[in-house]
Amino acid sequence: MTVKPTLDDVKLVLSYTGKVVIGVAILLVIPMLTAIAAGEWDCLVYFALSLGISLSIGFLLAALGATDRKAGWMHGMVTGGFSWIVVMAVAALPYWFSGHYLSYLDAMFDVMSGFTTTGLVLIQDLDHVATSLNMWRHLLTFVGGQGVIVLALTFLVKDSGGGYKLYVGEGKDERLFPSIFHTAKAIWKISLAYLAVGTLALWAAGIAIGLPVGDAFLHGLWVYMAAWSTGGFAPMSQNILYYHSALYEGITVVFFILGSFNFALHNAVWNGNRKEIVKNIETASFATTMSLLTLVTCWGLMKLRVYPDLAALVRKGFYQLASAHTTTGFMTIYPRQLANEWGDLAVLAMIVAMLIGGSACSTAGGFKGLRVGIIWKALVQETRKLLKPGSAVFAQRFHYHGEKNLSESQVRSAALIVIMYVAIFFFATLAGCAAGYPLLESAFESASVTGNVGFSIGVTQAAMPSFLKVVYIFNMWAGRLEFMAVLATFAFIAAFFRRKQA
Amino acid sequence: MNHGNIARRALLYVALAFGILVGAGAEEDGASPARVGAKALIADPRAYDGREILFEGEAIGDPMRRGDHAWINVLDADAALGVYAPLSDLDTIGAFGSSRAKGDIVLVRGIFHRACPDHGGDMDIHATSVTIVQPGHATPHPVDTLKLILVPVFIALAAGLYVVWRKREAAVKKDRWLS
Repeated sequence: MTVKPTLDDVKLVLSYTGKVVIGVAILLVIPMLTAIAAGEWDCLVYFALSLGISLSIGFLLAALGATDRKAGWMHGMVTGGFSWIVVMAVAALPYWFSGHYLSYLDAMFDVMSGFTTTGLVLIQDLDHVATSLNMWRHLLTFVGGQGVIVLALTFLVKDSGGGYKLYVGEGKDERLFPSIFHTAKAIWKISLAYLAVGTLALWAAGIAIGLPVGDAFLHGLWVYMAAWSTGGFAPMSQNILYYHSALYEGITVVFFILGSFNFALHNAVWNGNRKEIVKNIETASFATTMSLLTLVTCWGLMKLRVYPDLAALVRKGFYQLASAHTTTGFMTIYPRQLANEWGDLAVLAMIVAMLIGGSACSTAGGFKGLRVGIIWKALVQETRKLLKPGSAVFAQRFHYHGEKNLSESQVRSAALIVIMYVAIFFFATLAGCAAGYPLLESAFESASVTGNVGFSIGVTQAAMPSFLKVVYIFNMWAGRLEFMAVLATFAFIAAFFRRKQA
Repeated sequence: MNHGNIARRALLYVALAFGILVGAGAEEDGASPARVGAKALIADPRAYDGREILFEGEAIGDPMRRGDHAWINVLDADAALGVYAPLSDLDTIGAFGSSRAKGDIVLVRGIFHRACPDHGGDMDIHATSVTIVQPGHATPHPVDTLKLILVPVFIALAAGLYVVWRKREAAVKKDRWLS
């Protein structure tokens, strides 16, 4: 039996959503300061207008939702799902005002792509975008990587029990510390520490490859933000190919791989537990699938003689595959090269990599290495059972921040999430085919949106049908929140209206 | 002027005209490469791999100096391509496209590489010459008056709603405390 939501339940969801919107609105101060520094007065005006509208919406929702009700799991989950839709609409205001979008749907698509760290874009004339708007684009993907609710938890939400439920609703469940507020702050501390190191490294590299000092800094900051959050946005339309530099590519690889690791793993390493990197089931799973899929990709490219020598083959093959597997979406080739030159084998390896993705509780998407590891362990256990006497009992163990016994509930939960991912992957593939795109291209783009990757084979364009944009927005949202919050939101809305009719 | 002179002069003009035509034809057939857009190059790169082409577009972003060459990114209607050009060609470009400027429209003559062996497999053009077709210019970005008027309106609305929110929260807390 479904619990029917009361008006107080709705109020609580609105209250939390309002706070998340306020948090995102306050972020607009950063591009506003950038606009002042760059003398972009037209941009300053539309960012200020967006701030006014966003704060109005945030305060209105918070006022409508004022209640003394304590948050339960339902509220956390529904807020997780609902607030992402509301902030998508609100954060699209500056995009729309900038005049770089053909429709508001396109602007919302890019916001969802940024917040979910996907990285696909429908923006027009990216190479002439204002500095402040580029700051907003990359800030969205950086904040999205840590989580918009994590942002609100850090500054605006005071209720500890409710805070944890909101945190889980956003698709994260690791507690780095017993307090959820300390956990949220630790996530920001880790990200900001790497922000300093990453920006500095890319700034120096930018100067070394010939960028002017000021632009090298901005490119360094933005590319770092997109790398760490496994977002894949870049300030220029050629993405990372714009820099024509192995050094620059190498630094981005380091940071997007680091970004795809679990925050709990970062925390363990920061606290001196370096062995966790080697022992952890997620890193083992990532290393295994990454190695195998790199081999398959390179084999596919070699068969078709796509690159003139081994160095070029490895540089191109490894970069795109690593970018796909970590769900970053940085590219050093053109999207249509994937369709026209790379061949089915390499493209299939990329699809698998995009669906697997990075680690749980990281900035990465996909169904995650942890679940691949758990399902693999379960498969090994089942096979061993077949080979042993029926009465034999043994436990399958795995290392994940300590030795753990594999339980049936873990396997069921992992399998369920993987099945859900595969289901929406097929759904978006079907939608792509219905829109007239070839099967392999539809499947590639579908894997990219479902795994929050951002690689494109050329399907994602402003000219694609609106229904396909909506399907892709849904897949980015559902994939990022790992379904529970999305299902809860739909169930909540349906239950609320059913009650009204009764 | 006698007939012999007229005939010689006529012959000379014919020869000159023929020479010019042949020269122009040679330029058309052999020396002048095909003008190709980014879309065609990306769609069918093997057809142009290693061939000399002409590529026209806007110089965008920043030029990146590497030794005696520089990378220039050139954007046509469909996509931007990397052009590896001698530093001397870089000096001819006055404006690069950005949010505040339309860059010079340049005509690049050079060898197209589908997967350049010198540059890690990048698709690029090694330029032999870069000429300016049309100089760039600053692009104006006037402030939108309507948006400017709406800013204080929405900021005031947000301030009002903030007060309402705090009052309602205080009322809820008071009710809880009383009960």
